[in-house]
Amino acid sequence: MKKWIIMIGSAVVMIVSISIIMLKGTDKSPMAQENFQVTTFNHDNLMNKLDNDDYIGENVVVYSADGLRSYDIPKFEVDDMEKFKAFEAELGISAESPYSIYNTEDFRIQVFDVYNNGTSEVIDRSDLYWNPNKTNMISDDKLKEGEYIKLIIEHDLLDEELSQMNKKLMQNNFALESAQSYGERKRLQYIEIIGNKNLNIDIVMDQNGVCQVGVSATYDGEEITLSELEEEAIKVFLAELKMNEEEINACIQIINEALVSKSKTKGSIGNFDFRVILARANDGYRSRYDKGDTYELNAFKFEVFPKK
Amino acid sequence: MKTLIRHEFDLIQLMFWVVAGILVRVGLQANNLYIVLQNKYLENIIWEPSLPNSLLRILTNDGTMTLVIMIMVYIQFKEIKGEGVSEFILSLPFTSKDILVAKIVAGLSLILFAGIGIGIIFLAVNMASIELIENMRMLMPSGHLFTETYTTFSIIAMTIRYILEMAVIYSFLVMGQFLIKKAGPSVTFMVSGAFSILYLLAFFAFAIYLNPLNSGEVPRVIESIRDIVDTLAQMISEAYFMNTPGEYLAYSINEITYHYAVYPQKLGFATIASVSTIGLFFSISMYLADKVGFNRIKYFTISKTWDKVIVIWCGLCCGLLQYFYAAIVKGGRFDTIDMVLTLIWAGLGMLIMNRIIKKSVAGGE
Repeated sequence: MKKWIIMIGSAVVMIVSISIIMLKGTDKSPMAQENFQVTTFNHDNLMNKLDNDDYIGENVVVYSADGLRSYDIPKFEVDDMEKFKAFEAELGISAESPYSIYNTEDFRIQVFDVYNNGTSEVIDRSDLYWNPNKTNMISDDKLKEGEYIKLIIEHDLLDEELSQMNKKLMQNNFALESAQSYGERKRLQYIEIIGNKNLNIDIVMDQNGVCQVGVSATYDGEEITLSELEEEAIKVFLAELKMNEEEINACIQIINEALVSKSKTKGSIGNFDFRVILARANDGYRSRYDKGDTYELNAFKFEVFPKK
Repeated sequence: MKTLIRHEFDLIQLMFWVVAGILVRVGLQANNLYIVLQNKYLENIIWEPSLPNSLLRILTNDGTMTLVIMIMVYIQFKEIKGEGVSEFILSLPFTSKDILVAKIVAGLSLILFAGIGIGIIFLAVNMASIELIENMRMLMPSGHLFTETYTTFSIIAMTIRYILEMAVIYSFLVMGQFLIKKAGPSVTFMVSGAFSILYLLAFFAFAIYLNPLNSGEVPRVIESIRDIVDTLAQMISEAYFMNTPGEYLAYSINEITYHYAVYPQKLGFATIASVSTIGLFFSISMYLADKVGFNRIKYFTISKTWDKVIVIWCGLCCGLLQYFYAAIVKGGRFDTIDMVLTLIWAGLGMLIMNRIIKKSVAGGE
């Protein structure tokens, strides 16, 4: 009798549950919906001009969208030079000098030369010589075949908080690459314009102000450390976390250690916690950046934030 | 009883090592997800990694555990169904029910070992990743909705559902041991029998070639059957095979709406359906253990009628091969030649199946 009750009971429960699943069907309405208004970049007018196909030839590379727009124009291509002249006229700038910065009300433009060492896709910034004291000098010689004129256009931000922060952090060797303002937190991300580390600095804000600063880089196998200019830039960002000089120097040291992949992965500095995420060529990063058997690429990100 | 259970554990000892190997592989795959997540984070990419979904895919894309269960059931029942050993075991002071309970305890222990191991691995990966994921979500529009959907509990729910899925398969195969005489053919026929249902259902997917009066149009009756089959298939995969129906998160920027499909793992009616099905299969097994025991099945299956059903079923499946050939390979209509060939294949299938059954009943394993 008992076994019949179990058997029939199980069958009944099974049929009832399956029937309920069938009756419920698939609900296609969203679980939740929130609405946002664009608050990021003020690039309406300028973007219309830049997005015009006339300015984007085959050799004009747009390598970043959103906040930072970078156009690499080969000097030796006559067609593109003509386009570039039109471009200059449109924006009211001139690239006569190898390096120059233009500040307008809505955006900042940096114009400089980049030497391309033979590959068409990757710009090797290691051959650049930039002296911040001589704003008009970026390479010693005249432009050669394969050299680029590069325009970097940074737009102002519509979000008031981000805009104020951007104005405070704007530096000549870094350009604003992207900004996020939709989530619980806001973030500004900067990219190094010259240098060979592909250095990024990002700063994250919540309702209490700056809550995290991150420094990330990808670099090849060589042991490298931060240049003086890079250190200065990073210090400006770290200062926004209200760190004292000692703490800032400790952070710089950890970043330098991370660049040679010897850093700790987690720890604390004074009232702050930090973490270093490292990726090496052999742990999955290689397949995406592999450039040959001998090529090794390392990546790291250093993040520092107040103790919770 | 303890001795009996220990004996059952000894029988499937090797399977525990195989499961340990599976756990190592799952661990490496899960760790790889963490590395991918870290690398994306290093590139400052803001995205929702939907980690529970990726973890789920590790489980659903892999049939090794099902294979382990099939082999385990075969090992568990081969001995007791074998001529010489069964007499000895059945002469011991245990009832068939005791022996079956011991087997089920050992079998479910292996499944629990696999499930709990996988759960621990997944929770560890989730714990290691959660800080990075949270950092990304806090920068995303409506990122908190993902946090509310993909909780730690959803990983636990996924593990429970996985254990139940494996237990359903196990209980189904155990029940099969009391429906088909020999241990090996029982596992094979129960699995191929389940797949043959899918195979027959696929017939309706190609039903466009079935209407001789109005070619290209699916007959209304077939269309209705197809709808029912679709619903049933959806329901079965939802109830038993961790196929979670997608739900949607949405946000709009400047009145343009963006949708994100999410697949939250929950314990609900699907869990109840699984548990009750396991209960049903095991209680049928218990009933049959009393009724026919381990080796009192006279025919290939539990009755002569079912032997005939299997022969006809096999003929039907073989006959449909020509239909699929005409529909998929030829890409055309099902004509008279195909009809003749169908009958030939069906006859051949029935003949072969009939011989297999006769040989199996007459001979040993």
